[in-house]
Amino acid sequence: MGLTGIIILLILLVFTVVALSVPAQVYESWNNPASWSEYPKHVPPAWLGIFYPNKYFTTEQLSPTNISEYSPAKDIHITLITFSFNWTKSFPAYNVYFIISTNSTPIEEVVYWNKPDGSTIQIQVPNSYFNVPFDLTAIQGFILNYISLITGKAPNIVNATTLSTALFNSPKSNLSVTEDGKYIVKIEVISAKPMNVTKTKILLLGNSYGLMGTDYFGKPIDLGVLLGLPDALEIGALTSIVSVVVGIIVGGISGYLGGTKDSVIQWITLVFLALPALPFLVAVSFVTEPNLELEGLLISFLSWPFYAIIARSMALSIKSNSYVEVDKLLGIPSYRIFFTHFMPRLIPITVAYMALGVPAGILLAQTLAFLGIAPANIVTWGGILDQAETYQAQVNGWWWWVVFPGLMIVVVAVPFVLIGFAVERITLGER
Amino acid sequence: MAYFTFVLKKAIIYFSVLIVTLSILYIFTFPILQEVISKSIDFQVAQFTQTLLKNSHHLNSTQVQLIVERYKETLISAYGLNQPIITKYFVQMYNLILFNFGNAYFIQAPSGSREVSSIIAYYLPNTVLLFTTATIIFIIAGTIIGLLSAKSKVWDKIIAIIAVVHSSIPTWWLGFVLIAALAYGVKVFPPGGMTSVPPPKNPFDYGISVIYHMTLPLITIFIVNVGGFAYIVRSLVASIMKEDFVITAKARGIPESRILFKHVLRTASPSIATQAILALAGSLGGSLTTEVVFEWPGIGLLTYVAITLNDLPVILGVTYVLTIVLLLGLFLGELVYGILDPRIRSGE
Amino acid sequence: MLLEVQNLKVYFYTRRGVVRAVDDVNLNLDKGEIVGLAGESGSGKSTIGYAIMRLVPNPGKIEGGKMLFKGENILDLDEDTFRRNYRWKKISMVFQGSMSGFTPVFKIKDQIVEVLKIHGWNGDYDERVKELFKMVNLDPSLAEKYPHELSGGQKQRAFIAMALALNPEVLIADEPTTALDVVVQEYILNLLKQLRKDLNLSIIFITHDLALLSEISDRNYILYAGKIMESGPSEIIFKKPRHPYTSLLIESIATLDKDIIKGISGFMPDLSTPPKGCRFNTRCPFAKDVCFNEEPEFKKFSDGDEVACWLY
Repeated sequence: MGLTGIIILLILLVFTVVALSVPAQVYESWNNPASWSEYPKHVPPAWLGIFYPNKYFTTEQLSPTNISEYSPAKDIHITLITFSFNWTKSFPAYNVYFIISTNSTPIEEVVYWNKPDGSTIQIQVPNSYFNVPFDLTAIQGFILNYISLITGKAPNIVNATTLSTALFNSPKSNLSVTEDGKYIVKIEVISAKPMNVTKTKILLLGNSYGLMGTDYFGKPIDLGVLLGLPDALEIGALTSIVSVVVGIIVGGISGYLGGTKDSVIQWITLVFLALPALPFLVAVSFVTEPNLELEGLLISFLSWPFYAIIARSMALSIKSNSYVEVDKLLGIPSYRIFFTHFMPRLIPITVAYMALGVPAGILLAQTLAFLGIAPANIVTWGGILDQAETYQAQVNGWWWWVVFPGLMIVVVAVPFVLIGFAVERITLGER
Repeated sequence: MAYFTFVLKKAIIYFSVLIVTLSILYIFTFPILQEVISKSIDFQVAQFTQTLLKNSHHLNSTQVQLIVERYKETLISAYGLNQPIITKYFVQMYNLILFNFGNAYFIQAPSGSREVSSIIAYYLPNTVLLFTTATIIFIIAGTIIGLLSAKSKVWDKIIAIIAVVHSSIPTWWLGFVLIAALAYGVKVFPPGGMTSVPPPKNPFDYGISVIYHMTLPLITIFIVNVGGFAYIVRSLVASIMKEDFVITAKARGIPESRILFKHVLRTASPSIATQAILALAGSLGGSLTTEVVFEWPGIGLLTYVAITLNDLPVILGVTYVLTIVLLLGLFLGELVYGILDPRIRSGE
Repeated sequence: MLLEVQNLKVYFYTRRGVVRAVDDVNLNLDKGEIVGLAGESGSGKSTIGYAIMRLVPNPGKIEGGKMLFKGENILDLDEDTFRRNYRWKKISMVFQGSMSGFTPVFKIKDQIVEVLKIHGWNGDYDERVKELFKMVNLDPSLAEKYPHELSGGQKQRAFIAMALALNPEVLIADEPTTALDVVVQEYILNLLKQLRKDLNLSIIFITHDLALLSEISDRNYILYAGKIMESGPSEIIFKKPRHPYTSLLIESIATLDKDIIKGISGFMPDLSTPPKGCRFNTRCPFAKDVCFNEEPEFKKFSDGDEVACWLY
């Protein structure tokens, strides 16, 4: 049992290293929705495409098949970028992103979207979107016009996917049936002087992404899960080590000393046990800029009594062991007995509880994050789940947003629990 | 007689701990409390000024100001804001003993009262209904399972597995998943709340509605906690099974099941009962996240809302209540242990 | 013969291997006899006691032999029959003095009454408890107390009372006086002798303390490393022991007139890999070559002594 735990732990450590090697800017950009605009929003994991190949597809990136320039008149230069692709799915792309970067500002940009049946949509790109990536919602004015022209009415819901029907569905069917076949997209960039196109591509967004899908903002869940790993482990380890060590020392000393000193320490332990966690945590989160270490210390500050109680009862049972009495008779000073006989006996249980304390710490930290009490700029699984709850993931059926981050909490907790139980069983067996 | 001294000793310990804990809490929240009170005073003064201005047109502005000032002063002395810290401390402690937490900033009880104590009194029973019921169920189940583990290896392994579950799954996440699966995926259970909206008038239908809404959170709490309790019982039972009297009991012809369910259980009962009481006392503390996920109208949800609204009196009030409940639980736990273990009763 | 134990083997199946704790032991007990079973700790003596009660704990198993109680092999019976007809009814046991023989949370009286009820004994329970307590010279009012309220000696006597509740014919006393002070020890010994006289009780007295046996037993079995080394009447064993191990044991008894306390050097062999030949060979001052190769057979002597040693 413990062996499984160790193996899982090693795997997690490998991932932690991976997570730590992710460049810092990716980390910081996590909370900025703009960095994720090119990702499909709230879509399920890509591997669903293995099971349902006709229902799920991933983002297709298009590079231009041809770029030509000509100048029909003086001071007018036209750069024509041509894309073509074959569409085989029976429904439109989730969204379409146009990325056209040029080295100077154009006068005009027009997109000619040619469908397999021959019909074309002509879209004028608004000025504000020159040299800025834009999707269908940016040009919804034109598209909506087009839709009402063909179907006679505007769609009820206006989002990228409904707009996409304009581009992928046949006018013949009133834009209800998707056209498969060859699509040709021509982008005309008109400028006064000759221009270079520095970067251009078209993204046909898929309706699935990655290992774990994306959230409301398009952020890939697998990335979030990975990024949350080092911090989760850190706070788990920190709270566990501090609270267990403090608790066991206090409890061990208390049980060893006995008598009035024992009663006093017990009383103090009780006070700390009774201190309610909530106001401290809330107050601290109001007052200071919460950071991970502080949160960890605070949790330890409130958790050690639990271990002190356990250590004390163990100490009492060790004390009734005869050779401690013998040593006392022989005149060995108390503190020596403490370190040579006592503490070593408490080590196995310390290790066991340190292992078990980690998942407790992680769980608590993630719970706090879920409630919104966490250091602001780090990624936490609880935080991801908090967002999921805010955006009603469970109502919308975005199960991947709920399942994977939470599953991660479990997966990280499990090896420690296994190791802790295994150590505990061994030490109990020895007694 | 020995038991009585035992109870007395414990009572003194716990009461003193209560006072000290509340004092520490007071010291820590002192600045916040001052702010609470002065804000409350300002609010009352503003209201008073408004009514005054409305009803007394014959007074001029300086007279009005004087009256308002005097009113403010009476309030300040009533709340003890101008008293030395020691007095404030005693006033505060006095209020706490009487469960007087003042008024909430924003939250209101459905009855319309703004008193924090009424608000808490309204929502607390709902929490108790859900969590205490769930706790009782998993305590009983956990005890039985834990006992069974002494008899058969199969149960022992099962406990090991479900205990791992207990230590690694957050209740609120499981709740989340179950809601997504069973309330939205397959529409078996309601996704939240305590009753259907609007609540049925007929008390019988009302009861059914509550039970229906309670089922999913109950299942969630049970799954997460039963393993942990069973593991505790199992450890207790295992250590008792090693004791000599178990062998001698078998030697004198007592059948195995009777040994387990009578002798061993009875010997384990003080510790199990203590654990049960701790679980009950602690269950309320865990209500915060679970109630949020299930939208169950109890003090957990109340606290969450209070946190988001920064309604400090409510937060503090709930905290005090929970502290008292916890200490009461620990105290009762020790008492029950003393009753059930004759070695303590007759004064070992 | 009341009880005949023949070729008893008890093996423990541990991770380290099979420990042959009791290997081919024969033991007889006649009505009204007090028989001593002596050996060092780890010799297997308690295991024999448990085996007779069929209470050998895991991972131990009785691997062979017969146990004839009045001619009937009680080893063959199924557990339920044995529990209902023999255990505690015909054969009962008293455990080591320091053990908490009683369940700590029930009153002594209730536990004795429970034993009576379970075995279908009908009658006035209170009277019976009083009777039993009188037999062991205990104040009957102590029955109303909890086990922890009694002293060590009182607890042991109360337990003996419970062991006698169903009028057993055999009482196995496993180290009944260990961890009790000397005065109480004497008391218990005298009590057992009394019970043998009054009830014609047959007792197997298991101990490591030969001095005790010298006071109480008629015959003795000397056990070493799971095998009987010598068995015979007490006069022979204590005055003219034949086996080297017996002699060494007796010499190591500390009495008031001895200045030196002598022990036996060496350690008991590892019973998962028992030595070839006589099991005492590594510690025997008289060991010869044959002792390391072949196990000695029992030789009977006219004075009733039986020895398994190559010296004879």
